[in-house]
Amino acid sequence: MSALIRVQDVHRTYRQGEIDVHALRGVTVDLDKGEFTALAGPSGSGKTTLLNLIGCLDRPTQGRVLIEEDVISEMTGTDAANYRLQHIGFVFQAYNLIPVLTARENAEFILQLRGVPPEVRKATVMPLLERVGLLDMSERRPHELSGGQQQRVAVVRALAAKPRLVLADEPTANLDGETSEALLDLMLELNKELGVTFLFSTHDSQVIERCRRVIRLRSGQLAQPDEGDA
Amino acid sequence: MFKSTVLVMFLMAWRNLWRNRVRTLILISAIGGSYGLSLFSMGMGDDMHGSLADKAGEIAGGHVLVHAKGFHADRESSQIIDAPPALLQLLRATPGVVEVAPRVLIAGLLTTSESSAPIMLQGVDTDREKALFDPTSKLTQGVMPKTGDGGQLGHPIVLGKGVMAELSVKLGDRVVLTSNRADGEVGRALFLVTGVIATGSRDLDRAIAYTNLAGARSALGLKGSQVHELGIVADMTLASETIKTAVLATLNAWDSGPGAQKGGKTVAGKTVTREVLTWQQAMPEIVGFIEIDDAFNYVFLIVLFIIVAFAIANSFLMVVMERVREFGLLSALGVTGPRIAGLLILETAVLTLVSLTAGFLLGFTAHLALQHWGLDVAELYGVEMGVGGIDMGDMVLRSELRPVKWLTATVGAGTLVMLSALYPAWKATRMAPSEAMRFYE
Ligand SMILES: Nc1ncnc2c1ncn2[C@@H]1O[C@H](COP(=O)(O)OP(=O)(O)OP(=O)(O)O)[C@@H](O)[C@H]1O
Ligand SMILES: [Mg+2]
Repeated sequence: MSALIRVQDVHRTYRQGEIDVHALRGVTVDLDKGEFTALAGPSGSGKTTLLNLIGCLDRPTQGRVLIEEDVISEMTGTDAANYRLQHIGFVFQAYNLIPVLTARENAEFILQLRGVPPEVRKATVMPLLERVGLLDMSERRPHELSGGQQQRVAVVRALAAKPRLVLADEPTANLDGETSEALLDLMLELNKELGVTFLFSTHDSQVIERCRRVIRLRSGQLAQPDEGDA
Repeated sequence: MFKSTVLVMFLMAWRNLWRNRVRTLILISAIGGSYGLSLFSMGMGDDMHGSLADKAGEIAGGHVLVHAKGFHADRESSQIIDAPPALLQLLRATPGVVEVAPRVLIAGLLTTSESSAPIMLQGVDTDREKALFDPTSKLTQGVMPKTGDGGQLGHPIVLGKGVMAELSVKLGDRVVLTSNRADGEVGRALFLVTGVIATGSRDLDRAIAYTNLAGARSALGLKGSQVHELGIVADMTLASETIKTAVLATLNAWDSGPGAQKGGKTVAGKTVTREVLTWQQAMPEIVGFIEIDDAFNYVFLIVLFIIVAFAIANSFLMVVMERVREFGLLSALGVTGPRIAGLLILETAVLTLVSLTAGFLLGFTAHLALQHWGLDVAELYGVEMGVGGIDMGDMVLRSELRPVKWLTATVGAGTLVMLSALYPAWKATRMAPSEAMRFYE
């Protein structure tokens, strides 16, 4: 079976004033469809950088990133934005939601940008909101929701769009143990039920333990062993 | 897809506008207030200039004037034109011409046995003067001289209140006019005071005097239909230049036509060269004043709006900075740069629409109020006010709405506000989505 995502010898160098920061130094990794993978590593090891590259938010200095047959590492500007809109779901560490839109409107946002009619949007989003226990909060604005509730709305937004993959950068970092556990449960269940491919970065060893596959980064390179490949 | 995006963008724009109520209200007051003020000041300026033009036409003696060449500058009694009734009739039938008033103008000294006063005596046909300025309405005693009045006892004369006081004469008294006759000799003529006029301007009342055409002609020794001036009252919706052209055409047609046999082409055997002036040419100081006043108003309004535009640009720049995360999020979710810029421009457009509506209501209300009640200039300034020899003390300031000007101001204000949002909007599109994400850390 050919991989959903192929990261091929990717380098990313940031230029900071006079010095070059080598955030990624030759990373090669494949992800299969339906995988539930954690991206682990110490702070500064390049996790966010790699997620940005796979999420078509940034371009590698060297190497390629492919999603199915699309060479996303070569996309720029409007093409990249459209690719993200059509194929990738995001859940960020914080500040996930558009402040002036309600929970439901936020959850429907991607669908609305894609031009899905209102009834279809609602029919798609409401069951998911119910699934994450937010049905009665669907008309609240983000500032009227707790951090965990906001993260769940973001998960619903990502999943409602039925993307090829969902990328999450430390989705549980701002949540307490119990809430982060619950969010992880939710993502695992949705991964099983809907077969959505998940890739998320984390520091949390409890979270890492529950993942089927863990990719470990150290100083911008893969640290062996990568359990999933074993 | 596009429609759906626009819908949600519009929703966001609208809600974003009310996110910071105080700032939005300040912006609306600034834009709406300056726009409303500019409408109001334009309305007031246009009305003032309109009244000034009316007054100038009155003072000049017509919207278009016909003289012998040089009379306007020299005012010599001998600078005469001939205006037979048939020619006057033809001029009155010229398109755009409302009335033609023939006048004999005399600068002279009026004396009694005790004292004397310099006056500007106008020999007029009272009925023809009404279309421009009706002296009858300003009479405090007596009547205006009629055609055919006069004889052995002296020609009738109406004097300004100030002249009456200066000479200490009363109705029914006789006065003697000393002036240069058309033949160059100094002449004397007897007049009978038949009326008193008070124009409201003290300076004018110290010099003004009216008689009929026959009285003035006999004082100067003019013959038949000779006059110094034809004051042409025009349809004010037409430009005076247009009327002037039509009048010139009529005069030329007369000179080369059969009617010229009845006079009008020559005076004392010599062909007269006529001079046709618009009131603007006759009173260039007024035109200059209006132009300078207009220019000053424009500069003031433009400066005002540029200041407002900078304030808005600054405020929008702050909005962009505050919302870097939001724009980063939108970009990451797949909203393209141009659409993010579009969101900001949409927000500005909504703001502009709300502000201009408020400003228009403000300006229009002020316009209606001023139009209804008016503003008494004399009361306002408490002193006599004048421009280029025109007394405006009796003027009541109102407001005049010129749709084209208001539309221009509206489009201009709207465009300027929209332009001020361009740079901030462009800034927002320059955000790399991955960079914006870093703000979380
Ligand atoms: N925009 C940038 N300009 C310069 N250097 C950068 C930039 N972004 C990241 N870096 C550097 O690249 C390296 C990798 O950063 P990255 O954010 O990917 O690490 P991370 O694994 O996500 O860390 P954390 O766990 O703290 O989020 C770091 O040394 C960081 O300082
Ligand atoms: Mg990170």
